[in-house]
Amino acid sequence: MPTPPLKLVLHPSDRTVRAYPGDLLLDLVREAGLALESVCGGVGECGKCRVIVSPADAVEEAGGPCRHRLSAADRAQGYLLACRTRLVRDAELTVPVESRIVAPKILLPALVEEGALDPAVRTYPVAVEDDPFAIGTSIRLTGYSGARPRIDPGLLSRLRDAEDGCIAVVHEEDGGARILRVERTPGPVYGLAIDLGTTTVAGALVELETGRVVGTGAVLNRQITWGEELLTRCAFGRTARGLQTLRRAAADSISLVIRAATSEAGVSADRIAEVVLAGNTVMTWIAAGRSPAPLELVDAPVDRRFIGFDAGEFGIPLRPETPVRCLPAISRFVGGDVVGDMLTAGIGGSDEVSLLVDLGTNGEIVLGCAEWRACTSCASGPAFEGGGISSGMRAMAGAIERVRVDPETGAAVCEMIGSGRPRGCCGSGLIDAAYAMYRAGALDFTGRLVEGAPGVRRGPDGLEFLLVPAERSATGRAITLTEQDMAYLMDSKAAVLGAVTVLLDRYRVRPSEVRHLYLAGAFGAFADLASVYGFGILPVLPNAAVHAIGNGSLSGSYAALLSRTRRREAATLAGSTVYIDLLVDPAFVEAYAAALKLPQPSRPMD
Amino acid sequence: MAKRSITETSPIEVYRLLPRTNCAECGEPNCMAFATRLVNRELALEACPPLARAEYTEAAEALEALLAPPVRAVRIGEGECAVTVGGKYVVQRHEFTYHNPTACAIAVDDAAPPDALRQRVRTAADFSYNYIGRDLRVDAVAVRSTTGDRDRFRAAVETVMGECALPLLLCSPDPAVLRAGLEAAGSRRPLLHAADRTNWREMAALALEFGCPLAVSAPDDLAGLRSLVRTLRAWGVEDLVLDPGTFPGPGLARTLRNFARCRNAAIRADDDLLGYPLLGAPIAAFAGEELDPVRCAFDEAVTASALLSRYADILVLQGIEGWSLLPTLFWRFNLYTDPRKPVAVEAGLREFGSPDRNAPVLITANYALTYFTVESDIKAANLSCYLVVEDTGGLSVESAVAGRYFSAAGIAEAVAASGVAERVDHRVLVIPGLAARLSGEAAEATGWRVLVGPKDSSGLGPYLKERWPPGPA
Amino acid sequence: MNGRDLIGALGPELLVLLRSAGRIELEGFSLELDELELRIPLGAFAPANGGLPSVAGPERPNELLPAEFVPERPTYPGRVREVALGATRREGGSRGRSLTIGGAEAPAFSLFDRPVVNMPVISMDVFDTRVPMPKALRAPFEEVRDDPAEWARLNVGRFGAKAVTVHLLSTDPLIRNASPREAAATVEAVLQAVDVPLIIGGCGDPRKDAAVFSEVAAMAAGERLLLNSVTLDMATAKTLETVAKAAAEHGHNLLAFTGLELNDAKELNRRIYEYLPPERIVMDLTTVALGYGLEYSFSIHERARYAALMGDTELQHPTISGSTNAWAAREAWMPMPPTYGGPELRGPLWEAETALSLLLAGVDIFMMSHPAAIGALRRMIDALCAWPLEEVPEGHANDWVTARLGGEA
Repeated sequence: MPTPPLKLVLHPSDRTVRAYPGDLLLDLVREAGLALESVCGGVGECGKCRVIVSPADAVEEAGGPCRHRLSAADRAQGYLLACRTRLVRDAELTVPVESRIVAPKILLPALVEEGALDPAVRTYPVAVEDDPFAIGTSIRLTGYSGARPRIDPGLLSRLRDAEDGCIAVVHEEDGGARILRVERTPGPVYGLAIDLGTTTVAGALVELETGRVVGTGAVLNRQITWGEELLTRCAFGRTARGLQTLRRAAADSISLVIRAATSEAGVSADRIAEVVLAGNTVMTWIAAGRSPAPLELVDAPVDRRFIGFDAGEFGIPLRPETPVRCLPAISRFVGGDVVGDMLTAGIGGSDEVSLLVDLGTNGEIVLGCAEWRACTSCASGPAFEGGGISSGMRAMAGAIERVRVDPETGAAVCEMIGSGRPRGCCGSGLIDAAYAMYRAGALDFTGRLVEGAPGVRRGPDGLEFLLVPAERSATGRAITLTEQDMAYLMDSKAAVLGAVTVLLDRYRVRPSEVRHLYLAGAFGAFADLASVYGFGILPVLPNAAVHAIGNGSLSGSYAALLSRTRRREAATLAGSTVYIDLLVDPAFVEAYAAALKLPQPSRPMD
Repeated sequence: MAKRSITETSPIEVYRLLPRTNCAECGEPNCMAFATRLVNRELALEACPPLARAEYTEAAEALEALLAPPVRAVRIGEGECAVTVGGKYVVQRHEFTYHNPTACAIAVDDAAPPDALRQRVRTAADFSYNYIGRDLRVDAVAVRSTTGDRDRFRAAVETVMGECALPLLLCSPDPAVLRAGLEAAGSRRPLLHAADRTNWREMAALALEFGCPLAVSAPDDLAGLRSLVRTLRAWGVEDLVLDPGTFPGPGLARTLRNFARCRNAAIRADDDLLGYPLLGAPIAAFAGEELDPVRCAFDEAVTASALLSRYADILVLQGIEGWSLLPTLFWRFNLYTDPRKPVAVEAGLREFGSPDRNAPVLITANYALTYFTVESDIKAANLSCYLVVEDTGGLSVESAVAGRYFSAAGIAEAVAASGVAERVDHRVLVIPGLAARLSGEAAEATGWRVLVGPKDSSGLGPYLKERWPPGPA
Repeated sequence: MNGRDLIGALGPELLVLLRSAGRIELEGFSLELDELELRIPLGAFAPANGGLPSVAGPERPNELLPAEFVPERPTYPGRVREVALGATRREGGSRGRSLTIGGAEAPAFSLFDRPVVNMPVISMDVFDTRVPMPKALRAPFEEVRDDPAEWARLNVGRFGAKAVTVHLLSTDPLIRNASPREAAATVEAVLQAVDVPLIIGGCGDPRKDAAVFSEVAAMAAGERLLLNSVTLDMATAKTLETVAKAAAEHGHNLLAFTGLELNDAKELNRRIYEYLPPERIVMDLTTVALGYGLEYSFSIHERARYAALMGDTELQHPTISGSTNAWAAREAWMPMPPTYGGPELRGPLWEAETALSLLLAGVDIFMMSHPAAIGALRRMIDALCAWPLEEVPEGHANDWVTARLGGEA
């Protein structure tokens, strides 16, 4: 067979695949092993399989239009639907972040050792016996030795009529056991691990007996319609109607994840027997149907236990009796998602002091070890995800992610995601840029732009540093970092550094004593550690091994799904971790103020 | 002073300790008569008001000790909502009689949602079955802590108290949880379950603080039980209940052995450390591997029956369906009837409806159950008739027939004595179907025509409708 | 003159006067103070109880006071005779096995201080004619009701009966008045159908039964049937001798039936001793249904057993219970409101509890019908006769206190 003539370079993996003219982009991407979201399975229904291809004429439209057509703005930005597009010439294709399925498959299985699998749901053969020497029917579960399970009356008659070979699906928790249902056909049962994020909802479908991940899914959280910010949603959820709307939106998002994961695995959603969910406190309360309004107050009391409800009540397309269990929260700003991170990082199992940092929409920081832990939350804002910055954008094609500055000329050399012209800067690019600017002398030690330094010029709103001149940017406007941008970045970084400093001081831990640094999320995956230290987002931890734990919330819920021991560990962690409220802590003000400086460049880096 | 066996206590000993004023305030003509009634436990010391006076304190105490049952009587609850358990004088009922029928407590737990809990309490408290003119009912509610959570337990106890006035058992191995329950129910003097070798100090403190009876638990360990009782008594806890452990299925042999050992030790060997009421838990049938509730309820009922026969003074039960409660309540009632007195009604003539001179004449035995059953069937069928009640020594028709108490001669005597011949113009007598074999002889003895009625009085209505008035002989 | 002047005038003289006085008493004295300060030095007063903290109450032990328990093992002067039911080929009959009942040396299932001599036995009913029976009772036997041999086969084959009772009710003059020969033929058919020991029930008529039993005894010579029953009525009717002699001659056992009266039981036994060795006598003291006088049966059996153990030789016989009588109770079979379930629940439970109470009172052999009741009694017998006693798993006795017990509240 002759080699296919066309070449398609795929980002972010940098893989090259060969293709024939007319090949559907969706197929090519899938074949290459890239996880591309396509809820409808590629039939032109969901509008989720967005990709960016360049050059624009390397492809042509195929098939009918999608029900969810791309908007003109999207198309102007270069988006295409992979299931409606065929390749005709060599091209480069970028799978943007929102189309990527975020859960890194590699991390999940490592968390529960083989032989340590102890899921809350197990199946047992039903032994039913009609005996002339006794009235009624004997019902027993072969091999079951746990607490006597609750049986709903309707299920009781099902059990009495059960034929040979029927199995009972039993859910066991510390609070009691329950027979969920009786299955006629034996077969594997599955669990669903969900990360209910503010922006993205991700999930993994897991075969409970083996721990194998058989399907995944990631979608945008539909609640965004009612507010990007958490507090906006909180306010919307004050009314019963608002709460119901938000809950419904969360359920819908999870439903899409279920659909994607089950279709990938070829498994029916009926076989899912438990859901473990990790989210921040507001997200979790909304999912549970509890109004998040109390969380708006400073001293909001937060129950540090698992929250449980049933799928039927929640409104997700699983068997209605399927239990949903949410990782426990610690405070109104440190939720089950961070507890999930802690499970993933294994802080509770190590005697060595670790620092865990999760900088998403808010910044959560945990310091401690098996013996003790403290955590806090800082309003680091979305700067590290590109939000609130004039040229900020999400990490996708067209985003600058690496910056070097020539100290002589002040010229910035930018590397971007994808090819073509850059459109803006993502979080890691911003950090890189700031650090590079500082080393080149464009920033003073307070993070202010230095007038007259190479690369610094006067713009319409004050000083600005030029990263990409107008003629070389995709938007036709210069990509710069302004005074306001720098002020915002400094504020964000000072919040984080201040928070970390308070924690370290409070517990008398010197930076040299921290043995492990765990970085969660995209920040952990993509940021350059030298820049992070150099820009002073975190204090230098010279003896810390750095671990990017990816989606720690999802991994944490995965671990809890597969192991009741880890579940108990989560409850212990939540119950015994101290929450330091920076809002009322005078030490924070000082630490924050002190952190509004950039570290001396001559200080040793790791 | 060792407690004397009830059959050995002489009325004379008792008489010597009484005021001997023959004041008759007790309702007896003189003190000797009262002493006799006391020894038979037909009257209690409280019936003698003069004994309460200061001058008789010593005598009263001596009398109490002399007459006290070897198995202590323990009251659970307060005032009108109380039940007394224990107070036994003999091992086997035929040696004297049993006192204080076994209290049957229905268990509820604090994990149940409040509505379900209320419903269950109501069902249990409302259960009643009419038997021999008495109401068979449940006596107490046992609230179990399954969540281990103090607030849940307290809330559950409050819910139960709001739903019924029955005496309570509070069950948890954790004294802190019981304290929470007592905060709600302390004034009701509930039985606390239970003190064991790890928590006895706290449990004793609770019992003393709230003045509650205390159950003592040492599964299959009578030495342990005695040790706990000795220690708790040294602390001043007097109202104790023993729980030697109820083991379902094959373990029942041990259970029965322990119960028998305790009871025998208390009454025959003067072991006052074991002289306390026994608590049995047939509910254990629900804590095994069997999941079918009908099977479990059946096993529970069978276990309850065995424990009732073997000296249990309180039972904790789970099944609240009528079919499993009924035999338990029946057997409890039966065991506690005084064997010295059969349960009988007065012999004689009864009238139902408005019988005229042609109304049917029926005859039956004077065993209470027989009589009340026949009576209720007659009333249910709205019959107008005469019923002659023969004195069969309190035995049912079948027993009486078998034992020759319900005989042709007896029938003739009863009919004659009743005077029913003056009330009707006919001479036709309907005898119970179970006495069919007597019909010929009875006809001869009475001189009446004898018809054989249905075997069960529930058939009286249709029978009489069809056959009364009778055609020519 | 004011006070001061007075003192001034008296002064020096006053002092002289005072110096010589040993004691001065002032009358009508009063003292007005604006403020009075008292200084009490520490240690001025010793505590009343010598400085030790007072003991508030009685001496309370801090540790558990030790105690032992020494179980009693009473012995009894008497024991219950053993009776063999059914004879094997070697013994002159045709049964597969012979059963021994009785032998008790202590009250039943009480102190569990020695193994049971002979396990109690359950015999299943067969009726040779259709008698009115509640549906729940006859349900398992619908197909065999008209064929006693088949019925017996069903009892042994499907339900594992160790003995069968053939109730020859058709011989009742008030029912079908079947002849002794017919009765004997029925018994023969059953003897051939099954190889377990048989109990043969009459109709209760003292004359008819005597005739039937004589014929059956002769026909089944050597089989060691248990003839159910002889009564004091028969003594009065002068037919007791016939039956007893037939039993003696043909190697059978007799069931002596009296109505809840121990003196009658002893009297009847005495009469039978004239013709039959005591080892061939079983007693029926009457079983009355639960709720209908079961307590009488219970107590009389306890009394009889105790008397036997204490040496009353006239009561040292194994006892039988016709527990099927439990179905005479209306509660066993009549329709009741839903919470009382149906007769298929209540009936077997009624029969089981009737039998069980008597098991605890020492009864050695049971005549029963419903398989579910029989199952319950068998399980109870197995549990109570296990020797040595089954160990109980540690730590599970009080599971019932805190366990979630399933679907109900």
